Amino acid sequence: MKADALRGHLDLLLLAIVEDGPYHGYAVIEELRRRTDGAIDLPEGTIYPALHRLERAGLLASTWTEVGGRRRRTYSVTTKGKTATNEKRQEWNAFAQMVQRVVGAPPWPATT
Amino acid sequence: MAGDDLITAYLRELRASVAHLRDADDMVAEAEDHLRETVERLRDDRSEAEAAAEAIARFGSAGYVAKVCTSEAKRGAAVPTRRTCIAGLSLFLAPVLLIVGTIGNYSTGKTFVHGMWVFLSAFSLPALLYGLWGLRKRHGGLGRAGLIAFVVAVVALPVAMPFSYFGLVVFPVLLGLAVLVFAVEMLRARILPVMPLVLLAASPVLVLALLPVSRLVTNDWYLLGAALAPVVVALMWLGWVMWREPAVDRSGVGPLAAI
Repeated sequence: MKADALRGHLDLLLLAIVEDGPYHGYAVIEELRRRTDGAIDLPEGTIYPALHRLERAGLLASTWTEVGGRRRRTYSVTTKGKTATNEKRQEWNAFAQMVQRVVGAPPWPATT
Repeated sequence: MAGDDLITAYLRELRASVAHLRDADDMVAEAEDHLRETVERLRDDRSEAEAAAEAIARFGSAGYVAKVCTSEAKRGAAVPTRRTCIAGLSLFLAPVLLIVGTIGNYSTGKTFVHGMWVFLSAFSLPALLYGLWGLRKRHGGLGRAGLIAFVVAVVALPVAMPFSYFGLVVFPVLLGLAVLVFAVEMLRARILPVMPLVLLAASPVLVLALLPVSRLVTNDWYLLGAALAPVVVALMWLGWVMWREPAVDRSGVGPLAAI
């Protein structure tokens, strides 16, 4: 699945994963890959700017630690982020159900 | 060590590409942690250099990552906040103020009350601009097009004023173009209900089409007034939706409030 198909949904995907965290960036991507059976094909480096933006918006918080001589940033969801995640999850469920009702509906009986 | 050299060279390129960003150092540190973690996991079944090349390929080119960093740095999160809720109320009230003020303006004599009606009419513009600002915030900024459209809406009045009476054409044209761009970008973002957005997009087109007819042919404003009806409905509809959204930064609301 390419980036275009994810437009507008990446925030929810990231928030839903980090909600079960805390996770560092690599782990977020690994979890994203695991939950989607590798279907999401994004350049891994593009996840970090989105995580930074969510942090600037107050939906994520991060802490730095030192692991194996490297600086590592770990993300967790804030209270505000949990509220936003639930809101976005409800919006997504309503949208997905609406689409399913259309594409999954049996064909209208032929009249001829 | 060839793999290490590859990563070092990549990080140098990334640092140069994101140097203009405030969090450039953090971005590079995270990239280094990510790349070295990837190499550690990949090198079991391949050489260090192959693992580093694979890690860099997965991460994305420094230029592309920097481009995404820059565009994300300009965006906000598309979530309802207390400010977007208040901006929604402002958006809802903007056409109400204009309509009530205009009716009052034409139905009363030159008294203190008349001045109040004029004030209400005039106040509808800042209310609209604040509402448009809220729409941008609610959509995470609406990109460069959204920013340009907002700036056009803000400068529409000062730009139109030097044109004297012709400014009565310039002002709605600029405002109409700004609203049209807003509507198109919001439709693309698919966050607020589609119907009012379609109305919002249709109305400026209708107004821009009827403006020459209204001013130059029939020389009355009734035609234009009718074309403005959808935008009034759309602004009030969108404003009401934004006003009623539970703000993520307001305590005591949202699904977690009961927990």
